[in-house]
Amino acid sequence: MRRATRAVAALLTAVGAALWMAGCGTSSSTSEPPAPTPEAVQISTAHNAADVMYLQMMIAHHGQGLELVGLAGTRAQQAEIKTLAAAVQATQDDEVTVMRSWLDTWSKPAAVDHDPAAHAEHGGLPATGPEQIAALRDAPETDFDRSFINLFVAHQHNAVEMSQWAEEKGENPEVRDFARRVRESRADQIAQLLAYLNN
Amino acid sequence: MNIRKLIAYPLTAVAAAASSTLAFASPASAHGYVASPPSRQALCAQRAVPDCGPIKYEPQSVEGPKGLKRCDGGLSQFAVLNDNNRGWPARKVGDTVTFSWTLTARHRTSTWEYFIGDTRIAQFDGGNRQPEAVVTHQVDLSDFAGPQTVLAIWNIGDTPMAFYNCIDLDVRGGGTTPPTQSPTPEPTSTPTPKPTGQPSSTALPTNPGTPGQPGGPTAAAWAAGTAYRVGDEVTFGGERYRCRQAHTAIRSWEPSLFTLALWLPV
Repeated sequence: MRRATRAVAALLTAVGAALWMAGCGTSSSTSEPPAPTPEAVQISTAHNAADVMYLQMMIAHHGQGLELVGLAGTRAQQAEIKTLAAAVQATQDDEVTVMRSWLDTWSKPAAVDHDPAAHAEHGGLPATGPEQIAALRDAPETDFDRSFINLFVAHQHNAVEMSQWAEEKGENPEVRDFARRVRESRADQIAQLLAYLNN
Repeated sequence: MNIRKLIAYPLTAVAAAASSTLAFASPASAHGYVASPPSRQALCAQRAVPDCGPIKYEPQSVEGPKGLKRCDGGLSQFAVLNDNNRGWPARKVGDTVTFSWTLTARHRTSTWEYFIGDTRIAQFDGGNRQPEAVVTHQVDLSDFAGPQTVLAIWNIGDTPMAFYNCIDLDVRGGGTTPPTQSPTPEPTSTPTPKPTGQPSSTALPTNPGTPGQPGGPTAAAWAAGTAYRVGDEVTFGGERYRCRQAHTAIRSWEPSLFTLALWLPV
C-alpha cells in the first residue's frame, strides 16, 4: 500500500509538471496537453549486478515479445487477442523506455553482449528465439491463434521467472517494484490468453 | 543446485561471465505443459478452477522422474492436481484430439506419451532434439468414449526427468473438431480483483450511460477484470483517468506512470 501511494504521488508530480509545461508552451486553449512520458519514472542510485542484468535481459526479452504481439496485431483471428496484443505492445514499448532510461541513469549499456546459443549447453532453450518468431510468421491462418498463444504464454512465463529472480536478488527498490509489476501483469495476461485459447 | 534447474536463459551466461556468485536460477524447475485442451495446471493458471495453490503461477513446473503415472509428478506442493474432487471441467471433444503444448524451456526430447489409465494410447518420438516452435499432437480417442482423464508426459532427452499433465475430457466421438461450448467458466471476468472500495458491479464502463463515460459527472473506480474501451473514464487514487487503449484490466495495469499507454489523467 505504501508503494502504491508513493507511485501515485510520483505520477501526480510528473503529471503536474507536464501540465505546467504544456501551459507555458502553447497558446491554444482547446488542444490536449502533451501526454506525460514514461521517462519521468525516476530511479534511485543504489543497485547491484542483478538489477542491471534484469533490466538488460528484460529489454532483450521485450524485443522478442514485441515481435510476437506485432504479428498478432495483424494476424490474430479473435478480436480479444488483437486487443490484448495491442495493449501489450503499447505498455511494453513504454516499459522498454523506462528500463533504458534507468540503465542510462546508472551509465550502464542497454544491450547485453552474449552468445545467443550459450544457454543451449544447459540443456534447454528459452521459449522465444528467432525460430519461434519465424514459425509464428509462417503459421497458417487457421493455426495462428493457437500458435501465438502457446508461444506468447511461454514467453510471458519466462518474464515471470526472470522477475521472481529480480525481486529476490535485486537491490534497487524501483527495479524490484517494477519486477513485481511485470510478474503480476504477465501472470494475468497468461490467464486471459489461456481463456481465449480454451473458451 | 542441479544444473537442470538453471533456467536455460542467456542471463545464465551473462551471470557466469559477470560474477560467479550470480546465477539466474528459477525458483522452481519450469519447462512446459499442455495448454489445450486445458490440462489441470492450465485450468489453474487460467483461474478457471480456484484455490489451486502455487501451481497457478507455474503450470510449467510439474516435473518428476520418468515413469510415474501421477498428475502431480510426485510433487507434494502440486498435490491438488491429483485431487479428482476439485471439479475439473471435462472438455467435450470428438474422436481425434489435438493436444498443444506451451514450452518455457526447449529441452531435448526423448518422447511424448499419452496414457489413459495404464494404457498408452499414443507416443511421439522427439528424436532427442529441441522441440519444434509449436508442439501439437493428434491423438485418436475413438476407443475411449465417455469421461476420461488423459495423462500426457513429456520425457526429457538429456535428464532422467519428465513433465506430467492430466487433461479431463468428455469423449463424444463423431468428429475431430472440439465443440465450441465448454463447461469452463468464463475466466476473463475472474482475474484477481484489486480492492477498489466499490462493488465490481459499479465498474462497468461498457454500459452506455453509466458513470465512466467521457464528460460524465463521476467515473467508476478502476477495477481489474473490467473491459475498458477507448474513452472510458475511471477514478484511481482520487484522480480521474481516461482510457486511450482498449484492454481488459489486470493487476499492475492500473493508472500509473508505467501504464501511460493505457490511461491518461483527465
